[in-house]
Amino acid sequence: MWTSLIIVIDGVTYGAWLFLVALGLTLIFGVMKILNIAHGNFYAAGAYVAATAMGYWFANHEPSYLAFVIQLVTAVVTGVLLGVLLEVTIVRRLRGRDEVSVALATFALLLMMDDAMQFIWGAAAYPAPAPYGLLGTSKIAGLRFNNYEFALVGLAILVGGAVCWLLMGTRTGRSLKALIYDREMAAAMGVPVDALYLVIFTLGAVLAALGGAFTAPMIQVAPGLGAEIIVLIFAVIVIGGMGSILGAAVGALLVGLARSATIHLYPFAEVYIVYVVMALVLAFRPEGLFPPAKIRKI
Amino acid sequence: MKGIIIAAVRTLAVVAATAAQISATQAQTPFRIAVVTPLSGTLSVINIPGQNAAKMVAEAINAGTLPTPYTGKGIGGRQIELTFLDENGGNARQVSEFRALVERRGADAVMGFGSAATCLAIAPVAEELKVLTIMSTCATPRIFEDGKYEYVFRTAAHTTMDSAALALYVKARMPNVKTMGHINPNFALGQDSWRDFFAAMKAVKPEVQVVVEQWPTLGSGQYSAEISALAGKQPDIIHTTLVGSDLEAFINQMTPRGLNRDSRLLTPFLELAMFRMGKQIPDGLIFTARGTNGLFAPPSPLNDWFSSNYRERFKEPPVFTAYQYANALLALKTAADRAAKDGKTPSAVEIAAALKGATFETPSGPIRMALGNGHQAIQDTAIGEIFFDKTKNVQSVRNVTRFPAECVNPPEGMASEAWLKNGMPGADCTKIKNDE
Amino acid sequence: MTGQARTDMGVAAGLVLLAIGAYAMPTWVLSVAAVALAKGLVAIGLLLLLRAGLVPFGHAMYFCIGGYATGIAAQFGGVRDIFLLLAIAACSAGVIALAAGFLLRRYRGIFFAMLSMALSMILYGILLKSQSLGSSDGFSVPRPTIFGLSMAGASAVSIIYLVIAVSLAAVMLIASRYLKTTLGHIGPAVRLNELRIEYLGYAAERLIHLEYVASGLLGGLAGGLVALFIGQIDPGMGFWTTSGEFVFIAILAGTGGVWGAVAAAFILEIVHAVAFNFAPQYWKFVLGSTLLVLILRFPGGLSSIRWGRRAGQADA
Repeated sequence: MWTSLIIVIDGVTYGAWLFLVALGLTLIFGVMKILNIAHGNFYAAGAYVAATAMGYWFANHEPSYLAFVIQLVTAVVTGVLLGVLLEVTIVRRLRGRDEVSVALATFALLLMMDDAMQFIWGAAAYPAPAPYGLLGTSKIAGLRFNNYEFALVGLAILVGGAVCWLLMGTRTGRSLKALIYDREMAAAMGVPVDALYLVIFTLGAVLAALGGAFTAPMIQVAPGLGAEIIVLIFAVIVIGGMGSILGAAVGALLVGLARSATIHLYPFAEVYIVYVVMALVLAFRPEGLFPPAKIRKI
Repeated sequence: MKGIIIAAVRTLAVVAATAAQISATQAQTPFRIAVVTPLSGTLSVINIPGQNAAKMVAEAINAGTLPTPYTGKGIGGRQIELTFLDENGGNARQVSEFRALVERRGADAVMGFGSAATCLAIAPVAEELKVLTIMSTCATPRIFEDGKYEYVFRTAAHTTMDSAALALYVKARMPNVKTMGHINPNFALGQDSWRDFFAAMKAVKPEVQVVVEQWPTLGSGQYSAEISALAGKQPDIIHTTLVGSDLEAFINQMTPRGLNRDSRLLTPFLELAMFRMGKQIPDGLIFTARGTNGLFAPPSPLNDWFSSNYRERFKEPPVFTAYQYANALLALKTAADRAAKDGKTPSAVEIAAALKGATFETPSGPIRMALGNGHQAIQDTAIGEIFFDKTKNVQSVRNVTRFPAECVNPPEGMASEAWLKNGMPGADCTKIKNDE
Repeated sequence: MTGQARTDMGVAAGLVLLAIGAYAMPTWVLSVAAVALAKGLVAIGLLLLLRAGLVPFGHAMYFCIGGYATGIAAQFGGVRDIFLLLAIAACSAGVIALAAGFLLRRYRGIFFAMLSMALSMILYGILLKSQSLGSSDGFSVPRPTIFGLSMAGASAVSIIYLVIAVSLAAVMLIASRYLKTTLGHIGPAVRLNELRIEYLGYAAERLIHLEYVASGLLGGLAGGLVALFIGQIDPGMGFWTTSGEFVFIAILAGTGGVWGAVAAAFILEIVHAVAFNFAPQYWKFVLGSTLLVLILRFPGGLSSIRWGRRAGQADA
C-alpha cells in the first residue's frame, strides 16, 4: 500500500522535472515546426550558468533563499541570450526548409554546443548544492523526501499555467494560433511573423534553461547533461502529441509514473521502460495522446 | 558523380603520402607515446588526473629528476614525447584512429584507455600492428582472460580485486550485516562489479541476503525513485559503483534523505569525488583507491615525490587514475631501461619481453605483472572509511584494512569470475593488516 | 537505358579505383574508407524510405542486429565463412524489419521517426542488460575465412575492405535499377500524396513495408561488414546517435540517387577523421559546424525531401 503511494510521489516529482524541460520543446515544435535537438543543450547551459553563479555567491555566503532568485535570473538571461542569438543567426535562415533539414541543423548545433560548453566550463562537474537543502525534508510513509523536489512540482505547475495563459488568454496568443494554423494568411493579416517566431524560440530556450537552473542543485553539472535528457523529452512530447502542452504534461506524468513503478517493482527494465511506454502509446495512438488537429489532403 | 569518388580517393591518397613522409623522417627521434584517453564527455573527468600525472612524470623522466630507484634521463635513452588522443566516437572510430596513430605518426608505445570497451576492441589491433600498448586504467578482467597477447599489457590490477577486498572488509569489520542492496550503473563495469561483489560475499559471508537491486542508466543523474526504493528496504549495506558526476549526484540526493544513516554505503569509486565534494560527503562511506593509491599509498620517497609534486602543480591530491597513468609510464621506463642495457635503442619486442612478468616500483608500492602470462598486473589494495578531519580541514581516511595482492587477486590461470564463485581458492590472506 | 549504362560504368570504374586503393592505401585510410563504404550501404537503404518521405530514426537497430548476428554466429556458433556470416547478418535484420514493418508501415512523419527510434532504443537496452554478450563492452568477432582460406593481419583488412566495396557496388547496381521501375517511382508519389496513390490502386503501405525490409537488410549487411572489419561489436552500434548519423548521411545525400549516398558517407567520415586528428578535444565542434554550413549553404542537396510538410500549405 505504502509502496504505491511512494511510486506516485516519485513518479510525480520525476514527471514534473521532465515537463519543465519538455514544455519549451513542444512549444517550439507546435508553433515553428522545429524539432530542436539542441534543446537539451539549452537546458545544460541553464544548469551551468546557474551553478557557476551560485558557486561564486555561496562560496562566501551561507545558503539562503537568494539562491532561487539567482536560479531564476540566470535562467532568463541565459535563455534570452541563447534564444535570440541562435534564432537570428541560424534558425531564421532555415525558415521554409523541410522539417528534417531543420532538425538536422539543430543536431549540428548540439554537437557544436557540446564542445563550446566544454570549452567554457571544462570537463569537471560543477556542484551547486546551496538551495537543495533549504526547504528541509518531509517524512511520508516512513521515508524522508526532500522538499526541494516538491517545490519543483509547484514550479512546473506554475510555469505550465503561465504558458497556457499566454497562449489562450492574450492577444499574442491569438496571433500565435493564427500563425500555427496558416503562416501566409497570418502574415497577410498583419501578424508580425518574424517577431513572434523570435519570441517563441526565445521563450522555449528560457524554459529549457529554467529547467536546467532548477535541476543544477540536485545533480552535478557535467558534460553530457544535455544528451542525457533530450531523448527522454522527445519520448515525452511524442507520447503526448507533438506540439501539445497538455500532451507534454500528460506524457511527462506517464513517463514519470512508469519509470518510478519500474524502479520499485522491476528495476531491471529501467533502461528501456520509457521507450516501451512510447512504443505502446504509439501502437494504439499513432499520433500520440493529444494530436493537434490537421487538415486531410486529397 | 564519379568525380566525387575519384576526388575522395585522391584526397585519401594525398593524406596517405604525406603520412608516409612524416614517418620516414623519424629516425633517432624521441620515444613517442600516444596517450589515448577521454578528452571530452563524462569519462574525461575521471581521466584528467591521469593525463596530468602522465605529463608530470614524463617531464621528470626526461629531466632525470625521478627519485630512486629510477635513474638516468629518458626512457631507454630517449626523450619521451607525449601526444594525447581522444577516446571517444565509438569502436570503429577508435580502431581506425589506432591504426592511423601507429602507421602515420609512428607511435613507439600507446598508453591510457579509460573505457573497457575501447580496451577490448583495441587489444587485437595492437597485437596485429605489433605496437607496445600499456593499458593503464580500463578495468575489465576479460582482456587477458579471453585473449593472449604479446604486445599488450595492463599495469593496474583489474576490478575483481576491488570486490574481493570489499567483501573481506565487510566480513572483518561488520560482523552483524544480514542484508544488502545495491545500485549499480547499467553497463558492463557496474554489472561486473556487482556480480563480483555478490560472488565474493557469497564466498565469505553466505548468510547475507540481497533485498533490493537498482540498475539506473549510466548518466541519468536523477536518483529520487531509486533512493526511495533503497531506503524502503533498509539493507545493512548498499554497494554502488556509480562513478563521476553520477556518484556525486547520488550522494547529493541521498544525504538529505538519510540513506547513509540507515545503511552503510560501499562506494569503491568515491575517491574520484571526495576532494572535489569536500564536506558535502557524509562521514563513514567505505571506499577504495583501486590499489594502494592516493591516501592509501605506503610511504616511500617515490610516493612523497609524486604526491607532493602533484599537489603543488595541480592544486589537488592525486587520485587513483593519476597513479595508474604514472605507473604505466614507470613500467615502460623500467622495461625500456632494462632492454636497453647494451646501449642500443630497444625494439618493441625487447621492451615487451622485459616488461613481461616484471616487478617495478611505483608510488603505490611494487606492482607485479603476475597474471595473463605476465601481462596483467596485480597489486596490494586497501579499504577504508572516509571522514572529514576537522583539525586539518581535509578529507581523510580511517579504519583502513590493507590486503596483499595475493589475497584479493586470482592465481595465474584462473578466470576471476570462477575464482570468486569457487570461494577464492589459493588466496593467501595471512598478511591482511589493519592500520591504526 | 543510356542513363543506366552510364551508372553501371561509373560503378565499375569506382570499384576498380577502390580495388586499387586496397593496395595503395595504408590500413588506417582503408579503415576510414571501409566504414564510410559500409555507411554508404545503410544510406542507400535509407534513400528508399526517404523518397517516400519517411525518416527512420532507428536504423542503427538493423546495423546493430547485423553486427550482433555476425558476432554471435562467429563467436558462439563457430561459423567462419564470410559470405555465410553476411547472409546471416542481412537475413536476421531483414526478418526483424519484416516483423517491425507490420507496425511501422502505418506511421508517417515524425511519428515514424520516433517509433523506430523507440524500437531501436529497446534493443539497445536489452543488449546493455545482456551480460553474456558483454553488456556495454560488447565482444570480439574472430576473423572470418573467405572461400575456406583464413586471413589475418593487414591482408584481412584489405580483403574485408574489398568485400565491402564489392557489396556496395552490387547494391548500387541493384538499387539504381530498382529506382527506375514503376515501383521505384511510386515512392516519391507516396510522399507527395498518399491518398491519390491509393485511389490509383497501389497499396502504399505494402510498398513502404517492402522498402523498409530492403533497407533493414542493407542495414544488417552493413552492420555485419563493419563487425567483421573492426573485429568488435558493442551496443553503441544501436544507440540513437548512430541512427542520427545515418539520417544525416542520407539527408546530405538528398534523394537524387545512389551516388549521393556514397559521397555523403565519405564526406562525413573524412570530416570526422580530420576533425578528430586536428582538434582532438573539439572534433564535435568541427563536425557540427561543417554540417551546419553544408545544410545552410547547400539546400539543393537537401531540399528534395519535404517530409511532414505542414498541413494547409499549398500542395503541388
